[in-house]
Amino acid sequence: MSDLLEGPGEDLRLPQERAGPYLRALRAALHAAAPDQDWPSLRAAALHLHLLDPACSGTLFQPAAVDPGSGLPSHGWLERAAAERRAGADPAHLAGLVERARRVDPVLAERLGWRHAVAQVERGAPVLSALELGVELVRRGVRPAARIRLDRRLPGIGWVRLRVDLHGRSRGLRGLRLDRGTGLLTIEPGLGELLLRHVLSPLVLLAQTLAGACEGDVDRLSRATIGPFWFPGGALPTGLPPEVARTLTLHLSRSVLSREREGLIAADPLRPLPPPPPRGLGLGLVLERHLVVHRAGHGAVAAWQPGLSITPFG
Amino acid sequence: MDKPPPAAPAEASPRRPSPTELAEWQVETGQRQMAAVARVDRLVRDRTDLAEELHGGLGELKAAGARLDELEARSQSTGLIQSISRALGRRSAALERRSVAGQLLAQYETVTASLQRASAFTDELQLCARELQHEVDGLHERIGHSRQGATLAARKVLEIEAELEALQQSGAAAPGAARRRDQLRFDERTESTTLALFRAAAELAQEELGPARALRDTVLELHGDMARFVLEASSAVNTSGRRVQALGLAADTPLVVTELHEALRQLDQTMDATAAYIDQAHALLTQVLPELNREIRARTNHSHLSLADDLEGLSRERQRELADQALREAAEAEVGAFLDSESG
Repeated sequence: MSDLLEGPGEDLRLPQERAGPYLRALRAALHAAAPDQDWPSLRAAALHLHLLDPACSGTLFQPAAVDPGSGLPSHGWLERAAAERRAGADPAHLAGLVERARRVDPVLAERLGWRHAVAQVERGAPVLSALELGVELVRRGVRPAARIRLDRRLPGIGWVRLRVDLHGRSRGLRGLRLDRGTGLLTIEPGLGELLLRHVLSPLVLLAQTLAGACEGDVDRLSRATIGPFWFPGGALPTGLPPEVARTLTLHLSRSVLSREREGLIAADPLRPLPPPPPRGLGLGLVLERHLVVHRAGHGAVAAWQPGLSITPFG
Repeated sequence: MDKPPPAAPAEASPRRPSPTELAEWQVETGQRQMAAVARVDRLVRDRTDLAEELHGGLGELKAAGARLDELEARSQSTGLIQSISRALGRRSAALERRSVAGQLLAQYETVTASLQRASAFTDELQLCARELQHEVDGLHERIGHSRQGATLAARKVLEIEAELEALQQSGAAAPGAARRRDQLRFDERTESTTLALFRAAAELAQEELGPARALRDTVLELHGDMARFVLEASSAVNTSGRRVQALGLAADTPLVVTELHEALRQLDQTMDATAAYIDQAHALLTQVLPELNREIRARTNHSHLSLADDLEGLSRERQRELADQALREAAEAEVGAFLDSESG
């Protein structure tokens, strides 16, 4: 039975002694998965998990809590670490406070020491953002091409990245602004927010919406998700074989709409099939899922889902 | 004359401070107090700024939350989607629509960063309070040390007085009495000076105790207030965090549905146009062109039209493929023109 405590709201609270092993297992699974740029940044995710680890930050970001739907660290837990980074504490100032505290209060000195450690870890490197938009110019000219990226942490689902490759027709790309002096391309708020609210929309319809909004054509559109993370004691779907429920499993799923394929190619038996893209669009849809499973349970998961791509870790 | 009080069990005499040491201590203590006052002053200002920043951020977060509640309530009403679909016809309007979720998440990130700064500031207040308590404790220790020294010096003075009195009564002619009397008077003056210095040290420390205690209590109050504020703000932010993530999507649902309906409508039109063109092409290939070719042959006796020859020479499947491709391109061009006119 789960030894997790019900925390505030719906998040599942992790006992403090389990937080470190949970985070290190998740980090190891992510490294074994080595997701490409269709997924949220591995480096940002690994750093974020390291910051949450009590070995780095002690009890600074407690309580440790898990999203019951995705099995990933809860929004609040992730956000405390992200907010600490955004707060921009000065490591030199904190070092001074630690030195002063050692003379009068060892417990406070330890806490300040954790804050100092967090402020020093890979200063300037990004962590997972609750919401982040990025754009790069791929081609200039009358028919410019751009690549847009939207990262979002979604409750109950996981860490999602939407990636769009699109090109303009004859009048450039609406919703993107190019500074001709600096060459910097930025997303106008309207387009960014359109992507934000369509993060879970069917890709075919999203491609149509984007094409209309940008007055361009979508060449490739992908949505990739890290999560759920299944672990013993966490919230697991009903009907799982016991030996699968006892192991650690990280899901990485992806849908790609592109001109490289035709029709619908589905390699993900764990989600319902969408309708195939209409032929006239010239776009095909590929669905895939990859599992990263702890070595001890690898055989059980492979037997349960023989058609899925599985990587062992640990 | 009263007898001096019985001597206490042997105890180590505190080291007598020199006048120079007392003066230096007084200066150092004054400087420490001034630095502490400056530090507390800065802490009070920082606390005010942080509290205002956090209070303002929480207010905006609460207002945005109320907007979400309103939007969610509206999204439950019937007929809304249909009325929006009718009212919003232009695809370009998608770029102008605002997302409550985006604004709310941005505000949430600002508030959580302020909260972490406030939490760090609370730790700093606690440290300052500890240091001031350490100072207060140090003053108490100094007062106790000085009073102990003064008590011992006072006892010695009384003992010396008693011995001098005894010498006086035994007579000036006793052997060594004069020498002893001089030594005792020297010791008495020395111990009196020691007593005076210890009393001065105790008084100086006692004078510093009040301000140090007041500073400490000020910082303790700041810390208590800030800690309570951070706790309440954390609770409010934590509660809204997951709500923010989920409700942002729910609040945009009517908008998302509207836009997806438009996309579906465009897709349907696109596919209808393409299908219609393909249907027309098949009619053209299978009926009109062969008939036209026969008529031309009949009139001129010329060789077959190369196009007709090519067409007849191809398999039916290949004809269909070529026609599909050509007409798809024509349909796409027409759809593009149609969308341009819609958004224009």
